[in-house]
Amino acid sequence: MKLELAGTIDVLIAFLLAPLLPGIINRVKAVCGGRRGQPLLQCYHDVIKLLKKGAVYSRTTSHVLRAGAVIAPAAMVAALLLLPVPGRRAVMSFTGDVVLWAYLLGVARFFTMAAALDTGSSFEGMGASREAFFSALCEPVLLLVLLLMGMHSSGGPVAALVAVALIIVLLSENSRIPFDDPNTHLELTMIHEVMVLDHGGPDFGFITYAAALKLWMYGMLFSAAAVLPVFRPEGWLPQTGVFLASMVVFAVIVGMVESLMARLRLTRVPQAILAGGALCVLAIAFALR
Amino acid sequence: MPIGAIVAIAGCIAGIIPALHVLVSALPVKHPAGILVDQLSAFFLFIILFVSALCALFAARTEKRPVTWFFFNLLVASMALTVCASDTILFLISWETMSLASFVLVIDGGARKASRDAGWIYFVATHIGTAFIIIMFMGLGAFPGANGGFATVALVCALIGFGTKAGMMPFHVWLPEAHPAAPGFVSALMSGVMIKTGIYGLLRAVTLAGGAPEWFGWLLIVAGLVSGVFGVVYALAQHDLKRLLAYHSVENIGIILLGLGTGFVGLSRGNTALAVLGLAGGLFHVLNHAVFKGLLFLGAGAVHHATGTREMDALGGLIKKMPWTAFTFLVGAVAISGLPPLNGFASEFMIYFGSFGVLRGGDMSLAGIAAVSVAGLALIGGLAAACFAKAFGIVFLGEPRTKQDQARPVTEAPPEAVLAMAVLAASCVLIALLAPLGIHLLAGPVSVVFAGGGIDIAQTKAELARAAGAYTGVAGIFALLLIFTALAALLRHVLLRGRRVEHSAVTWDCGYHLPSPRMQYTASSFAQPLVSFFRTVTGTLRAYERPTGYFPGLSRFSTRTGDLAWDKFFAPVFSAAAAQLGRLRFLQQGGIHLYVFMIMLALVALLIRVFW
Amino acid sequence: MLYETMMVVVILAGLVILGSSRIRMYIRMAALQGVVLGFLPLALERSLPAARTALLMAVAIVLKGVVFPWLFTRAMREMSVKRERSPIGGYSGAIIFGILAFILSLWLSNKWVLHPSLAGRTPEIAVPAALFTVLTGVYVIMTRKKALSQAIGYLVMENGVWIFGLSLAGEIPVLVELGMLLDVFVAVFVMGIATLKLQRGFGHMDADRLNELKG
Repeated sequence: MKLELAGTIDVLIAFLLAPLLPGIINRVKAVCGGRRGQPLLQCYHDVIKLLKKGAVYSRTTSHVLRAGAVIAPAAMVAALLLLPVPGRRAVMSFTGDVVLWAYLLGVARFFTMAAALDTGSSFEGMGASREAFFSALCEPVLLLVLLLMGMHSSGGPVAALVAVALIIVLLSENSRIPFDDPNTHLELTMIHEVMVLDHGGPDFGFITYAAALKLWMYGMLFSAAAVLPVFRPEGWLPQTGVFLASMVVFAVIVGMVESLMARLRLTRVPQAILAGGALCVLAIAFALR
Repeated sequence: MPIGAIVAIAGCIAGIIPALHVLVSALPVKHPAGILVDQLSAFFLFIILFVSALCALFAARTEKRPVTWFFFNLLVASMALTVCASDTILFLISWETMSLASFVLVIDGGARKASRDAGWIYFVATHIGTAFIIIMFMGLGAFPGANGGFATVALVCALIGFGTKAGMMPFHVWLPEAHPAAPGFVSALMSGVMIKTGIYGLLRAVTLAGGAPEWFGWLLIVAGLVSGVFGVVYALAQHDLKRLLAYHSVENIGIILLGLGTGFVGLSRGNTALAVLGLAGGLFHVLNHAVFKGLLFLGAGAVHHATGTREMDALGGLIKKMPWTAFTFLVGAVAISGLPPLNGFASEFMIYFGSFGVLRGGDMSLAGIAAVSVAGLALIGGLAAACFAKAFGIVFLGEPRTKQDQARPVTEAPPEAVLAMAVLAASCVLIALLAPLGIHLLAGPVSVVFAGGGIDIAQTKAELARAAGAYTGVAGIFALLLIFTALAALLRHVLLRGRRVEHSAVTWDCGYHLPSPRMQYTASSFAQPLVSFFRTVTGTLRAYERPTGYFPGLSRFSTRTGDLAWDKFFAPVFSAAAAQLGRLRFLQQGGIHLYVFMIMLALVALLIRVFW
Repeated sequence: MLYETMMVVVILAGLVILGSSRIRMYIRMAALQGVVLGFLPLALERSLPAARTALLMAVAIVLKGVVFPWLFTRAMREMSVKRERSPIGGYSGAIIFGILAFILSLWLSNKWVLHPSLAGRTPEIAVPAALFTVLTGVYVIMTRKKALSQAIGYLVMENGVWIFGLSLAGEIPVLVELGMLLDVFVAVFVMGIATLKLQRGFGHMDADRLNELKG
């Protein structure tokens, strides 16, 4: 295991800038739809407002609901220590650290699902059920993507395949549009958002912030998948510059996908994830040659 | 406390110390009566005794009948003897004793027909397994050191025989029948510990056959993937809590076999890292599965004891009445899903670690194994998390789905039971956090299996030391995760101090004004998307009477998930066999003289054959 | 690199056909495969092609990229069928089949001992890609119910054979390939007419209901 204390700066950058990503995505969507859209910093306002509130709990709920809201951000922060900015080292790095990273996200998801079931609401049960289904299918694709990224293959078709598979996984895992709609809080279409219906106050602030951190981390993965096969930036400033630029590109891509695509029918979602798996298998075949 | 429980606990504690001594000091204990405790035996012995002691503690207050305790102790003793026997006959005797003792415990569940049927399925399955094991021993005994055809047959027989005991698909059919039928602490013992003797036997058979060829490793990998993925898929489709747990044993045996398989392939390919880490990962998972599956079955037993039902769709909200059981069950659920910061992740990580290391080597088919095992483990992990979110969420969270307190109030399990579960739950945490310090202990058992395979103990230790480096990181993150969680909880506490916090609102159900507990999501509805996605495998049958008309009456919906291996293979084979063997009925006339006559006839025929 | 990229495109197009329900998508993807594969000789030779090869390329590209899609689109419009309905095994099953078929093709191609004269020349991905494409075509013919989809499956199969032929044969036997193309052309033509007749005669073109013809 290697420790890199300079990496804490990257963690701080993530803490500060993570809520900006949803803002950029929403702005892109607004521009594409011919609207002005919400402020870029909306997510910051939301989190701060929520942290200032009191709380209301259903009498059905137990400590599990309260624990879920605490464990999710904690798992995200722990996971953040394992991801590097392209060209640098993460705070902690060892063989197989990406596996731990993926499973830390799994912890957050498990407790969010448990918290949803804790409310006894059938809507939240439905959300948890779908989340469980899609994330179980995403898991092998994500692990294969991480495996492929760890192989440090050259550019070309392999890198493109990996990037596309990664985008499929990250859209599904972050409840973005072709898989889930982050804006429809009260529709039966949604998956992730419905699970947190009964969270309020600071708990919901934690959950929102954790979701932003998760999106940020997937952005870091995307940045690594897109930048590293092309070149390896040297020096702190260029690395940071390239990284932040790629994050903006990432947010724009997600925003464009959301603007251009309709939500998939639920029966189509597993197929899309399976297609991501097929891309990974293909990429492995090419990468090993 | 019943004397049987005291004897069991005292015996187990007395045995654990020498077992640990052998494991740490690497000095095998030998006795001329056919006993040899080397590090592999000691490793399994430790698991058996540790979990058995806690199972006995769990039932110390609730189980009163001496008969049960007699067979419980017999089962523990025979398991311990099985892993210590160095003599074939002694091994088979203790193996058979183990099967019979557990059979009695399964049918002991009362006069219910379901228990007896389950018992008979178990009885037949385990003896078919034993038959294959005897063939294996005869083959290896008649042709020691043989290679080619005989070794192939012997290894396949070993896999079928020991695989039946371990619950490997498609020979797992007895598990989902026998485990629910037995009382909770017995199913914890059977599922957590007894099926592991199958893994032990498999490893011994491999060393006896002089090592495993590469195809055997591949076979194990395929068997592991099939058991792992389909085990968890079947588990998802279950409504019965203990049946669900039984299918998860099939899944975890799959993970163990996957580890062993990658280990053997790595060995025959000369890849030390893959060999050591695969096998060590499999063995580590044997320990971890014993701990968390024991815990989960004890929790399920406590729930069954308190509520009188195992039907998940009838339960709910138990966390309020049984907080300790719920908390320890949650720990077990997170552990079995392979999630940090618990021990389930620790052992799966070892297999991942070996697989990630292979990719740099450039060996195409080894990299293929790595990719297959990584994808397989990830899929199994994801599905297991889904399944345990369901099991924990439906049984312990929400509101009760039916009235539970009718016969007697639902209360927390007795203190002994809670203590047993708490110790197991604490072990889940401790094993994970102490893994960097403790995994070098696996070098002993691994080197026993690899003795003569070209990997010496120094290499094994070096590989495990390399893994220990990564485990330091893992344990560090585990600790940080716990610290961050505590900090976040503290932050929430500080934020909410002095503000208005309402604890008695009604769950908001999108404007519907008469929510009732019956409207909650159930285990079946939670698993429905996944089950219908895998319906070609599970063959789930649905029966649905739709509500019709303007004033609909009662409507009905039910699903039933059979078992493909049972429905399509064993049931037809057995009924065909029964039909054929029915023709021999004429021999069974009921008169004793006829039977004596037939015995004599057989003796005479044998004598003639011998002296011809 | 060029060759590999081409193969990736062809395999992905096959996967899209497996996972999609729109017949228009099938036509487009099969045409994409055809056009990409039409340029395959360029990737293999890395130089300007001989006149015969150029002719073959031109014929293949025009046929597969223009003529067949046009024919299929026309048939689709006349019969007003846009979608495949409930194929055997479902779409997820088809994608899983695709993954397994690709792994099987890789495994088979590892066992395959190429003729020594080809050892250095043939790109390693050729055999699995070709096998995979043939399997895709066969699977589409087996599981899709509309006669039109089955005709497209036939075309996809031919694309796989084309990869085999071009990548494995040292010298491209122009006559053989041209003959094959002619075969496909006739087949597509006949199928087009047959489905059209089927449609007019029965009001549908579900090939699995052809047993109505038994009388």
